[in-house]
Amino acid sequence: MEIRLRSVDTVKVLAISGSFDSDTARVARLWLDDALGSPPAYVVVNLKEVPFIDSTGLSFLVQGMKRSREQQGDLRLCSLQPAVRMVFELTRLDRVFEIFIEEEDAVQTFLN
Amino acid sequence: MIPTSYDWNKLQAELELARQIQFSLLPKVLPNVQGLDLWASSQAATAVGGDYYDFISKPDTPLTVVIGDISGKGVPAALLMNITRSIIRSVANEQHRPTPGEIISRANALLYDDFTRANMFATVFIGRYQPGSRLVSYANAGHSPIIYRAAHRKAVLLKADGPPLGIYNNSFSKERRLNLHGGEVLVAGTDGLSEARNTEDQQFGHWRLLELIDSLYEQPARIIGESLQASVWEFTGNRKQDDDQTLIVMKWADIRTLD
Repeated sequence: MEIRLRSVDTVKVLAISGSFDSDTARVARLWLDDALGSPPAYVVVNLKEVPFIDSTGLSFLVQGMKRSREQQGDLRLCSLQPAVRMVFELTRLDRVFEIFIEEEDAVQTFLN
Repeated sequence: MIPTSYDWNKLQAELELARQIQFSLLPKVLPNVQGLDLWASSQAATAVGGDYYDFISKPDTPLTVVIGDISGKGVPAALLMNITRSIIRSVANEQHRPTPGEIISRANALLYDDFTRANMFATVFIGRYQPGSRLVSYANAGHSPIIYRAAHRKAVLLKADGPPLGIYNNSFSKERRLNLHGGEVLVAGTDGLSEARNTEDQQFGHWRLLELIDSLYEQPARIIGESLQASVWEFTGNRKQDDDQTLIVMKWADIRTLD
């Protein structure tokens, strides 16, 4: 499991590698708290290298989305692998999040 | 403070008591419903878990079947599971007999604040069957897998119609219906089955569940359920169970017995 953080202008990008489970969520939550400390938070989570996500990972994303939207920001997703996309479709969370194919597109929706 | 062996022993004893209480909340006797063969089982990954199933059945009322999965596992999920179960049961038993979709909407409204504070959510499937009829109505708030095998057709995954509980403060799950012709099988599971992983980190997957149901559909509900469970356990091998696994199998009788 690896988490890489960077900024593109006012947008914070969180790229995760490996299974997105409770261990990943525990570490990522510290970063999310920091990002949400400066509202409005514009966050893109890149899941390109995530082959698996469980309900703890989904909870983390839902929490981040709700908190950022409360602050007039948002948390958006990009680059979902087919297995992860299927999880979002089956749970209808694909209608809750804005999901993009490429990171650049997700970032641009915040900057435009 | 460094935990002593006494503290650990006390903790283990409390967890065992919690497990017993949670187990006692699961239905002990399956409802005896005309034309319907039922089987259900739940295995927590740890002492307590966030999965549950429920049957709400009274004389001269439709059977309501519920399966739920609280995000996460262990004690946090178990605490919210118990609240969710109580609220859904209470709403389902209201005098005007709300539909599955109405139950989900009301339950979400009552649970939203708790789920938001806890940073969790719950996927729930609620089905309703009027004994002797040919109709099943259902609503699905983000829950998977729900697998339906109609007579003379391959098993298919039924997608959710609305988001899980706890996502939006106003949640709506579209109500859908299945028209029965006899011989149908409806399997409601939790993702601990489809996402079960083996020692090589491969997932069991929805496709294996679908194939198995296609091969087992002529069997009684108990055989279907126990075979699905055994297949998952065989696949995972020595790997410790990652997530709670819950399964309900509903099989409708021959068309003639539905009249």
